[in-house]
Amino acid sequence: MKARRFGTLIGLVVLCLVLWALTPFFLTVSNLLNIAEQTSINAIVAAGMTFVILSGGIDLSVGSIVALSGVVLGLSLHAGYSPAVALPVMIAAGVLAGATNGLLIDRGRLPPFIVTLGMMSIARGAALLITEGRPISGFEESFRALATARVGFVPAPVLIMATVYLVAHFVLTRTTFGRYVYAIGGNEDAARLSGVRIHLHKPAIYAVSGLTSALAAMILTARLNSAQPIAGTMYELDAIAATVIGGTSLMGGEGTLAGTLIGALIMGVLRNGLNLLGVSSFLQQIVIGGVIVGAVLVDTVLKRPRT
Amino acid sequence: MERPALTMAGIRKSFPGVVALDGVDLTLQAGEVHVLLGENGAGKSTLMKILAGAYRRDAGEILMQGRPVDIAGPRDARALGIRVIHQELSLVPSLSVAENIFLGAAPSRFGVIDWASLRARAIRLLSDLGVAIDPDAPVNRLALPQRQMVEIAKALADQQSASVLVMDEPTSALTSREVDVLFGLIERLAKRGVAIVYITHRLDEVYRIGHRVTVLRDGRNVSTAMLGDTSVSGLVSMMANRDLADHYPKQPAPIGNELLRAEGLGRAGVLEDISFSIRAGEIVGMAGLMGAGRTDVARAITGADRVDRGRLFVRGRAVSFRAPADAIREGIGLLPEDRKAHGLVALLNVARNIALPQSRKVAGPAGIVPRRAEAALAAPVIRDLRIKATPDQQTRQLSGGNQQKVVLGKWVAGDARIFVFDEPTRGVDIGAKVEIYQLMNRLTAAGAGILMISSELPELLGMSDRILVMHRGRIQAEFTAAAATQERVLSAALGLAGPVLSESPARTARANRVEG
Amino acid sequence: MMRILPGLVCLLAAATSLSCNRAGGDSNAATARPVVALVLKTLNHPFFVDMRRGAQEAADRLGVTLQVQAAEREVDVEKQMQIVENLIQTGVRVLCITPSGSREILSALVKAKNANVPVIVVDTRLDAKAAADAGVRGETFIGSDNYEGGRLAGRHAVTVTGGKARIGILEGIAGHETADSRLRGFRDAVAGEPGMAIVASQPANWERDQGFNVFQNMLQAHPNIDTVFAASDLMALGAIEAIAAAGKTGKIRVIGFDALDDAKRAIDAGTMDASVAQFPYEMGKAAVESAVKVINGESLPADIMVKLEMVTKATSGKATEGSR
Repeated sequence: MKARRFGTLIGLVVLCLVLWALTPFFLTVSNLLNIAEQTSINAIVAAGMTFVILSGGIDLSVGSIVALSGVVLGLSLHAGYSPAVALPVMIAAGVLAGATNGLLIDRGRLPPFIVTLGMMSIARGAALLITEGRPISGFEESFRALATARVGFVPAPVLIMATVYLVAHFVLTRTTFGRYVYAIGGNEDAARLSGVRIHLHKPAIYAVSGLTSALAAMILTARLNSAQPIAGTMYELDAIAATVIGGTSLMGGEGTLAGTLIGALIMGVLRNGLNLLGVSSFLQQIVIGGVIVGAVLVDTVLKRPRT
Repeated sequence: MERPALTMAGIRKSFPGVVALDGVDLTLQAGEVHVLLGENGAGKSTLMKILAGAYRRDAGEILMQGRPVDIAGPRDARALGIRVIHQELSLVPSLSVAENIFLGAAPSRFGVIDWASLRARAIRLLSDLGVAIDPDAPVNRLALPQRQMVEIAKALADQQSASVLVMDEPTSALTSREVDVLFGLIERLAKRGVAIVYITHRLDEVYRIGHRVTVLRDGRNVSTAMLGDTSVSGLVSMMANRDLADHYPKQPAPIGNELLRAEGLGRAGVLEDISFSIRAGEIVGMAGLMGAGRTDVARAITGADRVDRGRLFVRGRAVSFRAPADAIREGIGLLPEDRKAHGLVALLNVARNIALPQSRKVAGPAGIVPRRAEAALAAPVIRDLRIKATPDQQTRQLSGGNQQKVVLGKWVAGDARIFVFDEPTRGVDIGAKVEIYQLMNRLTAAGAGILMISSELPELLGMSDRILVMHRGRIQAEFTAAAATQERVLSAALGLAGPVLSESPARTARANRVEG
Repeated sequence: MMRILPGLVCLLAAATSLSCNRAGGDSNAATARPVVALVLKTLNHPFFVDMRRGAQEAADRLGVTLQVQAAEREVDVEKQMQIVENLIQTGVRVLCITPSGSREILSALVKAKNANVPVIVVDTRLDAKAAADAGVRGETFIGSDNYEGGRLAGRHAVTVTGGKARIGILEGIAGHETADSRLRGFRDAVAGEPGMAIVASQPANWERDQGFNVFQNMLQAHPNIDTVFAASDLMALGAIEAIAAAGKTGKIRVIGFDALDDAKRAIDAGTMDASVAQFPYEMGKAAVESAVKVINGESLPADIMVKLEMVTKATSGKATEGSR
């Protein structure tokens, strides 16, 4: 398991070396900071996705929750509330949407795929409804600092991403909740019979995903200076891809956040590099798709028992 | 005498740590219904799996019509005309009867299914068997016995005719009228010269349908006889195992206060009026055939399943469990029957599995787990139970015995006082078995109470202070250790004996209440 | 994981070689030539494909290297923003961009300004007030006046219907400058005519399949609609299919926008009445020409308007050659 995490890291390093050889623009401080900043949104969404996938589920609604919590934030700010009020409100919106997923999955005994597919549509529709389909634009500089400010030379979104990962990593490795996430994903029946209160923890797991989606929406809204109801489309696929490239098993129970972060960085570096090389957007999609399938293929081959 | 349709001679088969078949013989004549009897684990299923090509025999000979044959896989078995109808049906619910009958062998021209011919052949086959089932009906609209007929038709659907038909407990889910229909069919098949192996636990059926009987015990032949020459009690004593009973390291512990009491627990269609108690220092054994409801009792008193009726008391106090977590809080630990499906999180390491039920205790009030806290909790357990693993090892890499000890360790590490062990020694080697028995002794000596469910009668007789016998969702009988014999327990499990109670469960419950 | 590495390298190598071929082949010379970037909303719309062709023609003629990039989806401003950030790294001399969001893209353009990369805005205007607040000023705007195009369509509708019609409108994505201007133009043109009634107006988000569905529903609610204005041809083409499905082909006039090849064919076939022709090829050409002027230090007018034309059955032959 350690060898594989190490392997993903080697993959990232080699990718960087190849790009360094191919284009002089790649290995510069400003470009690397760009990559970190561009990766931050996907990486944060993928952190929550990792909790869900580790628990044996899937969350297709993250992109729509990004949009919904984003417009909730935008409307709150435009209504004259300070960020100190608006941010908790939007985070509550994301957490609520996520917890609703979890409750329906647990209490309703519905497959996560179906429930979050429904939420994907519901949250998107709600975002469009409350904005009448229009983006909400133009925010105060104090709020926009969440995306534009730099601490030293580090962009704020990168700092937020780092904080999210540190906290999430701690939760996953050092708390009972983290243990339960792995236990539920590894064997839900055994976890339940061992006294894990599934009714409590499943909604919490999906709420974490809602929370990270809201945090991503915060950065996205500040970055674009606009909250769009159509934002976040396809984010679920990027987040799942980052998680899976990072070595988390879609069957649940196995994986790490460090892997997910590396997975998100591989995708970010790849997109950035292909941009720098002037590769057409069509070809970019093919390359990224190839990397996702390749990573999972390697994962599967490594997991196959040796004969 | 005519040349036998099938002869199995000296069949041996062993699995890691256990000899399942030790030189078993079976001879089938064309046109006979041959009953195969034996306790759970006597080797019936293994023998039939070898016949069906699911397992490879280690030694022995199989002859068909006197010619030696080699059955390397299910395909060979089919080609030889051997058909097995399993307890679990293998039909595709959404497809029609005709499609199911010819599944995988549909008549086709150039890869296109010839529907007319398929339907015609299905109708011919069904009427041949004398069953009136609409060939176009989807299987999921049929009642269970009809599905079973379809399963039989499917087994006989090949161009080649079946010469040996194995039926494994075909009547376990049927009503008596449906059983009549099935028996009619079996008789017609036998008249046509098919040799039929009939496996059952219902001794009353044996005499209605069978011609000869073979009894297996511990992987060996006990007897093969004409049914006319045997009696029910004779069969039971042949099935019962009489050695070993004294080789169990039982150390009686002082019996203390009542720990757990069930009063009239029931769940529709599964359990009815389950009343019993477990006291400190006591091992209560629970016997019964597969499907008798033993595991359902275990799940009901550990919060895994809800019950419809009845009450549960822990140390005299009424409790109600909404989830296993509630039962654990009351000090009840369950070792489930299927450790892979319910006992272990195979991807987690040994320490985390052992610590899982104790997470609250291991972690502080903030839910933060100190580094190595789980390993610290697990280390003494690993040492005490002699688990051959490090705390950081993934549990899926361990042997069956060690995995079982990890599941036991989950409860030993905590403050469980009431242990529910469902088949605690299944699939573990003899060394680990003895260690598990010794652990049970230590637990009872320390004042714990144990409910031990087992399919191994010697183990139950050797370790229990009392034995409850389940039959069809009820407690059929209760014996004290002194009064229990294999024959009596087995008869009760087979439903032959009435409630021969040494002391009635209800009375025990009442008596204890007065005491407590 | 080790096995993934050769695969990654191969993919990248393949991507690079393909991209070099496309970028002109003579990679030696390419390093010396100034690089002009054209960032499009998307490349899966004929409008932008045409624009790219015009830009490439001008780049080849004027001796500059053109880098074309686009987001996978037209509405993905965040991806477009990443592309701009990445292009700035490669030292492009001029950035031509068709903004996916007239306000949202400003953050990226601020970065371009800070990196001293001049910006030419094409097709979709920046939000004037937000741009001023952010201190972003494009060198020039190249595009058609969408408001004027909408008016053109409206006046055409008045003429062909004799001032009496029941109109259904298919809108673009709400909040888009392009969509809003076309809509306003059309509404203003028909507002003065008492006989012109707009009975329904719904967004179909620029997409063909949504055009079909939305208009089908509209027709259910208002069976007597006799004229459709779609703010883009893709939506108009969708509506035409819906009309055919309802068996009303020829009974409902369809006026579109963009004069796509498919739309012109429909006009020739008589299933569509007219479309406002924009000339994306001209826009792309003008964008690169203007970029070269910026590089040479020449000044540019604030707006470079590319003509608009009403394409009808009578004129469609002429219109086709104009956009090539």
